Amino acid sequence: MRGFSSWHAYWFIRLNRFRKKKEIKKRLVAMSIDKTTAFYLLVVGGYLFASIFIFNDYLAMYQDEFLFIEQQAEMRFWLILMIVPIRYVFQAFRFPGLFISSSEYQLGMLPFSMRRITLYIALEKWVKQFIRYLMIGAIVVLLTPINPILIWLYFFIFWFIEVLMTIPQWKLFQMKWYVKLCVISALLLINIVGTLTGTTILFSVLILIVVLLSNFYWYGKIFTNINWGRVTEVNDYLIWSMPLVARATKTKFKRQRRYNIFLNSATRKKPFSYTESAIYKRLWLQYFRENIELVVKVIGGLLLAIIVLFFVHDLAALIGIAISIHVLTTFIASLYVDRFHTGIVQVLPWNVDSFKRTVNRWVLIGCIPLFIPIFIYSYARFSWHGSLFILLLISLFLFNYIVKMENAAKVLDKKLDSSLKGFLSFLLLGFILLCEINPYFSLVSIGIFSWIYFEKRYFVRKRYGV
Amino acid sequence: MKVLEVNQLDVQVKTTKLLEQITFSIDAGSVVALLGHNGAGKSTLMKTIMGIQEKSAGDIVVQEAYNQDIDFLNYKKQIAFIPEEPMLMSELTAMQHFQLYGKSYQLEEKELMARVERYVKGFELQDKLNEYPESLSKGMRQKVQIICAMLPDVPLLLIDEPFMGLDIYAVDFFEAMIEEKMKNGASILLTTHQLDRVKNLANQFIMLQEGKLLHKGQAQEFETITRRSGKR
Repeated sequence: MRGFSSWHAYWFIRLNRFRKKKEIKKRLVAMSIDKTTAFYLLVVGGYLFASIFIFNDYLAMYQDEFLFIEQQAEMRFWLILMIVPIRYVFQAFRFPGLFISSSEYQLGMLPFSMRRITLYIALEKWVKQFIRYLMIGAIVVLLTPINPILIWLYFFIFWFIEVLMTIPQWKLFQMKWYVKLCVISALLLINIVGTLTGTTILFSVLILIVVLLSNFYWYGKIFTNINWGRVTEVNDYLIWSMPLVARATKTKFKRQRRYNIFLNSATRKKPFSYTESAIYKRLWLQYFRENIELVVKVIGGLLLAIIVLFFVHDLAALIGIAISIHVLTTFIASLYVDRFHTGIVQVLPWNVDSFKRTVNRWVLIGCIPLFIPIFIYSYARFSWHGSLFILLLISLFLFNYIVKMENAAKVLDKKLDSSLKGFLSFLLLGFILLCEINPYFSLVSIGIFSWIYFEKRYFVRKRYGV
Repeated sequence: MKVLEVNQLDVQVKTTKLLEQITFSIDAGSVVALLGHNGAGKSTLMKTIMGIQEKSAGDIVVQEAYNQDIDFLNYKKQIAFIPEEPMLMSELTAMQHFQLYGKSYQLEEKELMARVERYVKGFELQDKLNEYPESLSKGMRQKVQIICAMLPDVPLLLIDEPFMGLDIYAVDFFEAMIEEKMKNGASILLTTHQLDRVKNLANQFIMLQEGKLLHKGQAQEFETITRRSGKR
């Protein structure tokens, strides 16, 4: 081992990781792009490149907006500075910030210095981020008329805060969720007070000093009370999760969970009451916990889109609501199918109806954040007709949900044929748009509810004999 | 009665053929050893029969009635599977896994508890029932997985590398469990490298090589074939 330093060991791992990833990506490209696709990609790329040269027209068009951004960036400099650290505290809920994977961790078990390896990891992160900001900064400077000094100042500050927040994020990641919640609440409170009292400069400087002090305080304790199992599990997933590869090869990169917040909870260790609902409830809980990021992204994205569209145009808002119902119900149905293809469930017989029944309450919980703003908008937009409109939305949601879940169950039984009901459920969403012409179109909900009632009471009874 | 019929089965991922034109059947109450070198396609065949791996052509029928392509949900109810690596959930204890299997195969609670008690005693896991998989050794996890699959009375049992990670006493108990299942009429398809172990259990064999069926026949014939292969 003489001459093989911590740096050499770290570099050896990094180089081989890079080679492996490169090889996987090369295979992915070879698998996904044939000569014809490559040709069209070149044409599209060429078109995009050429369009950059006529970009100046767009620049002239959006001159006022750019000036507005510049003005705001100058005015709100200290406020933005005060907000940026919150991002890293948010991230500390899920990511440690330092990419110490199981490979780097194992180096620490060999005669190499973990402290040095961590330093290399941090340096690599900072250099990469610096280059990234440099490139983005250069593009913004080239393409916009915003003052270059202001742009570079911002990017440098962002990078500097990233460096300063590395240790705090690492240590916060190890702490209980309520500690992180307290830190975020404190930061938000400081931001609000600073904005309301016009003392953002004072508070942003204060925050920076606290961050600096926390770096000094935690530097010596960087490896005390570390949950290495959780750190390496998250980082292994972040490093090797390659969504495009997973999609192309139809494989899943699963997180190797080596920790569990419920592990020591005596009540969760007790045998289930021997009912399907008790058992499947836990399976769904586990599934949603594993996919919480995706769920939050989809629901959050729809929520954001709807709220923005409310302020754009009435018709746009209605289109947004219709699309949200379609996307949300499709998303739920795809999660439902995926549940059966994940983990131990895939080797078990599938009681699709019981799984469907037990997921209903989760669907209801998931829909609440989306439906609250929609309901508020409905009353604001249609006044007393709002109740009718809400009934229409609920009926259409239920219709789409029932139809898509039925189709999903058929997919699981490999019995799917072209579904007329599926097409009809999509078509019926058009009634939401028709309410723009006449709110009385909402009355179609009576027919839809009747169908749902009929389906539930008679058709299901016939099929299952219950 | 044919418990399992595999007909002209092809499995292909992109341009790579993993299994090619595999045809065989298993009679009721028989144990078939699936043999072959590493990478021959044994586990792929198991996964394809289970429906985890998608097939590109061919038919798989269980109990002469349940076709994988036509009646998949009922097809799945006829099979229990022991994978090579335990597929246990971090969130469930050993006992909760047994309950999940029991409910999935519609076992009555009383019957489930009676079987769990017997199997757990045989595998010496009495004090591990309320433990999560992380707290168990690899061998113990394998035992939990075996118990899970042995709980239901299904006509077809698929076992991928049955003795992997088990101690000598556990292997003996597991063999006894397999023999009991056979007596009750279940058919078993198992892959293994430990030929000596399955010699007494299996009455037929299927040999795969590079995704193709090389030989199949009665277990007694197998020794002749290996000798001939050795001479070449």
